[in-house]
Amino acid sequence: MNNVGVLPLDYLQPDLQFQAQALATNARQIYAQYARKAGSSPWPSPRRGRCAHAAADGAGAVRVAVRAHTELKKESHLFFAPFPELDEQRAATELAALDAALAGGQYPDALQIANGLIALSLRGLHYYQTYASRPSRWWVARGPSLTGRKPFFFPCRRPAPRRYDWAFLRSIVSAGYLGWIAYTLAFMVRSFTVWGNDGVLLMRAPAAGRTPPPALSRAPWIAAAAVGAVAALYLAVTAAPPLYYVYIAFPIFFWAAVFAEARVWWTPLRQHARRGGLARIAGVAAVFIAGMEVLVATYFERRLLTAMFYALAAWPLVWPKELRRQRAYLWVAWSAACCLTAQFTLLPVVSDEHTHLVYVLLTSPWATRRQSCALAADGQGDGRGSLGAAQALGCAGAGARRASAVRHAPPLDRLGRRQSRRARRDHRRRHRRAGASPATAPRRGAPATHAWCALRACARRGGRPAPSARWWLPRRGRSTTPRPSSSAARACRSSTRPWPGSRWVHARPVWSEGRRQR
Amino acid sequence: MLAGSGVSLLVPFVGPAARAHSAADRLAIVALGFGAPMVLLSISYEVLFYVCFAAVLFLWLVVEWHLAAYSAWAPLADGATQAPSHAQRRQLQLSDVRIGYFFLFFINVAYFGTGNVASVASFSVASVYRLITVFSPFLMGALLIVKITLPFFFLAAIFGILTRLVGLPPSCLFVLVVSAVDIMTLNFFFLVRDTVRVGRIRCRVAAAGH
Repeated sequence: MNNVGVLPLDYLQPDLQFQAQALATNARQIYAQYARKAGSSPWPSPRRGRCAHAAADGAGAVRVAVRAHTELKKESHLFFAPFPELDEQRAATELAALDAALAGGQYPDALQIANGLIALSLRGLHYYQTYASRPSRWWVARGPSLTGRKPFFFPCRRPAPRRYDWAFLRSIVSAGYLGWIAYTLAFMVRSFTVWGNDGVLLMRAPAAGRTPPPALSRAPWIAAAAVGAVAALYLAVTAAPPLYYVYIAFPIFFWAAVFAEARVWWTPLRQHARRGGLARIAGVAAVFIAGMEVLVATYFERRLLTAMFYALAAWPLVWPKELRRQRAYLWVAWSAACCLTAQFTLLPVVSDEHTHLVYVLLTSPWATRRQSCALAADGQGDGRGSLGAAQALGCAGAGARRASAVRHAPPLDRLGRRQSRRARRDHRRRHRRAGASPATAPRRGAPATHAWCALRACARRGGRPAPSARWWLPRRGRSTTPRPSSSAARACRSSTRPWPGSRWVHARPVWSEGRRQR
Repeated sequence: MLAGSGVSLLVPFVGPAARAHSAADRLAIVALGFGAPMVLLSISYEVLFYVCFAAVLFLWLVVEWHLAAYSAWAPLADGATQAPSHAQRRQLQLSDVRIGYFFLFFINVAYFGTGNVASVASFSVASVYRLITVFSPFLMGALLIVKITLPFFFLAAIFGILTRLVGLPPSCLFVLVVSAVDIMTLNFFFLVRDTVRVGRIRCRVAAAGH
């Protein structure tokens, strides 16, 4: 449906006659669209003789395209109700009044009538638009219609306007989505919780050490077949488009599958309920759905993501206290990173170039090198002359560090604390003497220092992974089940523990067995 | 230039680098490997966004790892030399819903961080002009899409590693996310309208072309 725009009168020249005639033409055009949908003649009988001028100036061309549209719809819908506010009679009187007003020079009246007709036609168009837009041809073509006559049980003489297909489609599609959600949840329960079907779709063999999921029941499928047959019959009677059969097939299939697996999810759920865990599940589900609604809202308001990031920055408050105390850098880094990333959704969407930023990013390492050379050359720290302001901004920090090195000041570590290199080396030597590998030596300072040292050690090993932990490994964990451990790791753990009480120092990511085994 | 950027996109993922060993190495390779085309294609603060986003994701991984260590189930065996078998993998818990939600949240952040992915037209073609000076819509569109999806690639890598790190079977959290995302789909389905004012469309077109 197009060509239903309303003329913006404010933009026209303030000649009332011109405005009235233009709007009247607009009203006739929109009414012709409506009439095509409604299946009535666009130029009803009282006006027919007088519409020669309208037809002459092009608006009458619409008539050619008009076919009896709703006649088919009347036959194919069980409870058809035409748009009650604008029938042919009313349209005829309105159009006649419009013509009379135009002819009589009562332009304000003509404007009013035309506006009313436009509004009514648009409402009617919307009414028919939300009906099934495609009447079936084959049903009408093959013999007498089942519903051609008005059903005797039709409840009221003037039916209220109803939007059958809109409600029908919405409920069907929603049921399909809910069924899909339920189906995936049932799949999760079967595959990843108490039962042993480890994400395998069709195979029913249980994984080692797990209970096999209970068998499927057949009754829901039989019921689904019956419901599907009834639904298909209904769709055939109402002459629905073929896509509707697909729409209706999805919810039936998914819900049948969910109920066929009823024992799979009902048993754990009942056990949970007995232990009083149902309220917790409901609470988590409610919070989760509320969170999803917030995510939906971010599609309309981008800055909500910033607020959510600030909330995430406060997430460490609910961490275990032990973790916060032992890994202080972790929550500091997390909060800082969240606050930093939160700023981007406040910025305008990228549409223009800001080459200054790119310039800073691209040139800062190079500029740093040049500047340090200049610093070393004149020893004064004024090597900035040839560099632009943006570069200077990018490399000021690095330049300062270099400058301190040039002046033989005591080296600072990454946090800016004074710590001599010798002190750190001694510390690590002491540790090595205790029997651990140098890479596991506990390092003081910021995570950046740790990461840097790890990177250098990695480079020294020729890119091979460290035989020991990384700085980000969890410090301790409460293992409930005995874990298999290699003898080397056990020996290492029993002899020296870089951190007291450490369990995870020698853990390595389990999928990282590449070159070492070869 | 284009060939250079293509090589820089591919090099980290073929050859010896692809056979990196630990998760951290591999993550670093993925982040830096996608960082090269990001730098080449950025015209404004996209690289900064990419860096901050990657940092947050990496910290998220670390935090979840720690939290898994504090939960009842221990995430990794000491000195384990093989991937955990079926019996060793843990079951899905209620607290794993949080990981799924965080993943969806980060998808939204990647979505709206530098622009609106829903309309590629809202992205400036200027970012491609460094590589293609002659107008060719398909190549330009492909490059734009690559640029837009780079943060998503890194997010996917983090999510995959995180799933294994907390001891869950590989596709487990993904199924959870697929199930959860339909709540959003339902919302948008009910927000569908069948009418729109022409003026509004015109405004949107103008805003997109601007």
